[in-house]
Amino acid sequence: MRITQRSLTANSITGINNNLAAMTKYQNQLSTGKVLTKPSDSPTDTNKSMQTRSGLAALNQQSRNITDATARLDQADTYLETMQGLAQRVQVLTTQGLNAGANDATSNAALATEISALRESMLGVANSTVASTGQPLFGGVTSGKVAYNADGTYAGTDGYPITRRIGDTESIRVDITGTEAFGDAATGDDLFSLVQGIADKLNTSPVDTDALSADLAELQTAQDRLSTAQSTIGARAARVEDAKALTTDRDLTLTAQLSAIEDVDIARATLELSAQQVGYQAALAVASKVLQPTLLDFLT
Amino acid sequence: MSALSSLNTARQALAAQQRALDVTGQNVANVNTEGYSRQRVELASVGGSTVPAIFSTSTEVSGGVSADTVSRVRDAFLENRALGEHASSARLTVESDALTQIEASFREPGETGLQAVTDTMWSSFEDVSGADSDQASPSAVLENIATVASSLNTTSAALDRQWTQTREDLSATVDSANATAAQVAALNKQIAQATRAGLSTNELADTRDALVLSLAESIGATTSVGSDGMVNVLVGGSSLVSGSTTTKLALVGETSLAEFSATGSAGLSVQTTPGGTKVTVGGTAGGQLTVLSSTIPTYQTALDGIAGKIAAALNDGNTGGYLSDGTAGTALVGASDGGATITAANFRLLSSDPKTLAVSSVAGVASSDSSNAQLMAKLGESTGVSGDYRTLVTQLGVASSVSAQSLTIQTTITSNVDTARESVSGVSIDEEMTQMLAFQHGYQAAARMITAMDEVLDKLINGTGRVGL
Repeated sequence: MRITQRSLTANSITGINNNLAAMTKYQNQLSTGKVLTKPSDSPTDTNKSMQTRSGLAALNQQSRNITDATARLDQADTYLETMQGLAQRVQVLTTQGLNAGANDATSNAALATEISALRESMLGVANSTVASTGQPLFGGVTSGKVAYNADGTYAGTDGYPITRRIGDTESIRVDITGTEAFGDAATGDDLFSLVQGIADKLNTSPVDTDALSADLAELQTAQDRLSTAQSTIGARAARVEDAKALTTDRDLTLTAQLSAIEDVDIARATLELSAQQVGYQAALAVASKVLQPTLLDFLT
Repeated sequence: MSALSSLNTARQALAAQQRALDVTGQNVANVNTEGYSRQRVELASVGGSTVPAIFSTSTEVSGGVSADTVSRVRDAFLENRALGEHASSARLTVESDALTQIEASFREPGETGLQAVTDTMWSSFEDVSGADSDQASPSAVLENIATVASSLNTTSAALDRQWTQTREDLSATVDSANATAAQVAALNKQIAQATRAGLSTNELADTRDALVLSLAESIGATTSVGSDGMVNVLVGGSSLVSGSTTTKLALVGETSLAEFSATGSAGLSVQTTPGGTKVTVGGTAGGQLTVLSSTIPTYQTALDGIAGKIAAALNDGNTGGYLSDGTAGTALVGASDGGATITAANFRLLSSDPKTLAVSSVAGVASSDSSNAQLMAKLGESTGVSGDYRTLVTQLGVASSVSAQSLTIQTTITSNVDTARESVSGVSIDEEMTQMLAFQHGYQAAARMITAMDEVLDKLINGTGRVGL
């Protein structure tokens, strides 16, 4: 093949440009810290990166959901605990009333007054609201401000569980309605009617001890129902805790994955850059050697 | 054979060597001229009379040397190949650049791409609480939908702009091709005249061939040999330059992407004018035409599909639910031009009133239920629109990366052909210097020849016939 000065020059320029282009590539990678800046850099990695980013966005939302769920469940647990305490106090007072005898009207009236006061407290607890939204905690999905009216009738809307997504496929119920925790108010089977009944019975003289005993037994049932509600809430809280741990783990994993896909391996890129630099310098050196001499240098 | 004829032979030799030195000088002068082909003097020995006569037979040794022809050193096959390869390079460059620009319009993967804003939008549905009295969480959802709308609008507008710009570029390419074709025709005419007059056409032909190469790059021209040293230039089988006449080309058809999509495409083409015959162009124009009629519309259509799916998911989700007051939800997004088809360009949030978000699943009565919002949060994955978008971006990445690779390969091929052309036609200084020495020596020898003949004649004229003087 016939080689001319111009083809030598052209080759040198091409070589130097190629080296510079490769150096620019690594310089870009190092200065942005990213190896993946556009889909064509690596289509498969782009797909992975987008999936991972979606996963991270979902996880981010799930951890917010988990915080909300934990807050609601903790609140429900606290109030159910308070309610349990109040119910125990009613139980103690009722037993006192039964022991005092049917005819001690004064002391029974005093007991009745205290029980009525406890019922008010119970209604207050039952109407407690979710801290974040002001929604009644035990009112289901009611649009009103209270779960129970002052007369003890239920104002909540049941049948529409409030759920929060805590995993890609796992949703958990985060509320418990008044009906579930305190009994069905519509049939008069609930805690508040029962306590009202006990107070009413103690207020009548002589006290109907048989009926009162029956109420005491029913109160036990109501307390058992509260315990069940509490353990249900506790079990859900435990699931949420597990989900939280899982979310934290997955967040770390996905962040690491995304970094592995998108971020530059600094050590490697630096080495590659140095290698390219050597190549570039070699190309320049060769150009200076090859382009310089012609036959003219040797003709006299 | 006479002494004077020897003198004449030497004179011819002097002239021929000088001519050869002239050409060497011309070659050296153009060592770096783009498109210059090195020239050679075709030295030929002139024989004696080859026709024997009855009464006189020639005993002449020869008639000296002739240096009439100066030829261009050039490989026609390589030149033709160069036209094709340069056209391919130009076409692939345009296509690859267009795909890179489309990638930039999509802004993936990253925080500002459609994927990130739609993810945020879908997940914000899970934050919605029906009991939110100041409507902060539904407002946030609507804000996020508006962000998705503006992201879709922006990407669509970027594609639109790219289409319009490419069309302007194509129009300019066609215009400049017309101008170049006219120059080629003018040079053809000069070359034909010079050829008929027996003059050298080498420099004119070099200029013309460089113009033809630029035509190959811009519209994919090929050539066929014409008469009197002219070339005919063809584009996609139609004649662009025939001898000294040209056919004009013009870009006709739709002037905007919207119009292009609406008419279903067929109109956009490069045609001869007058005549209106469709011409299959290559090179830069071919690439631009592909970008206009296929590349950009493909991604615009795909993006419109994504926008339509997001809109359908949002609207179906919202109409399937109920507002906090129990009334049925209505469509959330629509077309900004009021049309029935929602595209990426006209995707718009219909109302910014947070109460229009159908958060509840409870029909007829007011409630603080937010289970419909929870359901809608999953629509991005369940309707497959997120996956579709990922597929679109991945396909775009594959197309762009394949195109870039093809361009790299084609660039190597083109530069190899150019190197081969340079190898044949390029001026080598070393070679020219060697030739120069050879011609210089030839000239010196011829001069010495004259001196020798001079001495011989001197002897003959002044030294003979003087016996006894």
